[in-house]
Amino acid sequence: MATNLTANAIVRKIRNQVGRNWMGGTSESFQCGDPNATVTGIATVWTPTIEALQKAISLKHNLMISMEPPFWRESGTVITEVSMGTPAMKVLAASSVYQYKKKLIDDHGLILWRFNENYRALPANPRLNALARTLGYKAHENPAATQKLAAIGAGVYALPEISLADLAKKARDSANAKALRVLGDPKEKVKSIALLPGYIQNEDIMAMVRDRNVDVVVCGEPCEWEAFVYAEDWITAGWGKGMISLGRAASEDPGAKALAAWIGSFLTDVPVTGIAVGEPFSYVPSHKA
Amino acid sequence: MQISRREFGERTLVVSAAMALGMSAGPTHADTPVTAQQIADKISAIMGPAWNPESYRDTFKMGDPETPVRGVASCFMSTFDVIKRANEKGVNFVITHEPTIWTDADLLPGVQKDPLYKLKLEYVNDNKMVIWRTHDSWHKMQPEPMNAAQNKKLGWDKFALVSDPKTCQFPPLSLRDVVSQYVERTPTESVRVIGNPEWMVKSLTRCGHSCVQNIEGLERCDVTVSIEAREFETAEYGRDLVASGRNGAMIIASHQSGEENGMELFTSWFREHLPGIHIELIPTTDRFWTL
Repeated sequence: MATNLTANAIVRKIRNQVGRNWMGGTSESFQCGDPNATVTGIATVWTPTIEALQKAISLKHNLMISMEPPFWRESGTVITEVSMGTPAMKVLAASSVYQYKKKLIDDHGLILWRFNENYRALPANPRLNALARTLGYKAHENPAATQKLAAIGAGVYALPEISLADLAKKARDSANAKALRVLGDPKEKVKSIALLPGYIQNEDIMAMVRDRNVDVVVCGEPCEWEAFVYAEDWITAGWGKGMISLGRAASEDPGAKALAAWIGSFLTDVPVTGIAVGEPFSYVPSHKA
Repeated sequence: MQISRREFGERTLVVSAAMALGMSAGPTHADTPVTAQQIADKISAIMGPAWNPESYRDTFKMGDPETPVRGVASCFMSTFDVIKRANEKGVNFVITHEPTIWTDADLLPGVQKDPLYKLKLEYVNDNKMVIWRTHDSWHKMQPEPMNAAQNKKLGWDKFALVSDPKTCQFPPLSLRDVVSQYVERTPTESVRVIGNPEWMVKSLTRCGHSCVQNIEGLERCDVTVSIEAREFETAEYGRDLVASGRNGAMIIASHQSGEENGMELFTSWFREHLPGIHIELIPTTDRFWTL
């Protein structure tokens, strides 16, 4: 499919689609490549891994739209993630992994544009809803409770009663989250779930459990001295029953694929493909046979 | 850290005062009330140059420092569960390595209206407990005790480099076997690995939590071991490392599995320096499970 649209023109169309809700001063920006180059196709992804870039190349898509930056660090002045030791450019330049990835991008004329806060803030919240659908929660949504959490983008669902162990198994299988980690008594019966894709901060978990109507928090990744311990203490207090950490990638892949569908809904003359990166982990020794 | 002569003199006075209160004079003085503040002062005095009075981490977190101490509970993290278990054992002074109220600096503004914070604080106050943190100063002790304790627990001390005890060189071993040693000797279900488990490796370095440590570590060693690392940066760097064709691996374990042993060492250190005061380690356990 041929198109005369440049990457800049596509970004303008995305901004127009967001309309007056567009937030400025965010991390949305070109990360690599020439914004004036003609786009042959768009790949959307949570984080632009080397494998995802190779997939885009094989699809002949030269624009990659990702929620995360390509070089494992926040670029510029906007910090959307809690980093624990951001590598300086000097450190990156000395790394063969950086050199390999940079060359791959340059050699294939790939253009990378980051779409993060404004994607997360879309009123229809495709990032959350895609994960909720993947996990089989969406049909059980409590819309009023979800509405109360609109500011943090979390959802609340009332499932038919299930044990925490079975809920975790279902999450593992449906979200391909083999490396997930769970807190709480596996035998506990649970039914009310609060869900948040991605990194969960203290203010997120506090808001999610504030009304005491939630048994389990399902999230991407908690900090082990922040939201994770908060969940531990919440369970110790007898107020909650469990936390399932799906893993960051597993919790974001459905939203990254939903981004392709969203872009495809108004950009019909360019091929758009959502790419799931899968979990980064290759081996979890505690996995049961 | 440099310490001025005047500061040192003041600390010595504190030690003398504490000793006069019988803190290290054995069980015959066991009924002499010693406060949490006095114990903290004595610890900081013994730590000497490692003690940093400016640290925002190493401060009292909950309870009245002037409370008489019935016994000390040391722990990796003062979770609500650990605090309750300490109280059930009849000890009321919790010395923790990690935060109490869910942020590195135990920040109050975000939690003051939070019902869970109120519940935890009420429990501590109602049971006349006190919580104090030793993080920065304990890490500053030489040899760095968290690393030393972990090396010993893992049986890796014999492989540690004298010039860099966080780095080990050993006869070739599969990544799977290295991981097995970690899991068997520091039990946790929260160990996730990036890299081919069949790779034969012969060096590793421990990285704390940071992405930059992992990048630099993988430039000189086959494996990095992190006790908690952010996934969007560190784990994704590891994935790209493998995809780029490099032979290397990352072991990302739970925070607790990497530091509880160091607090066990703190407990022995405390017993040696403050022999008259009861102390016991309350294991935190990370309570993660997998499928």
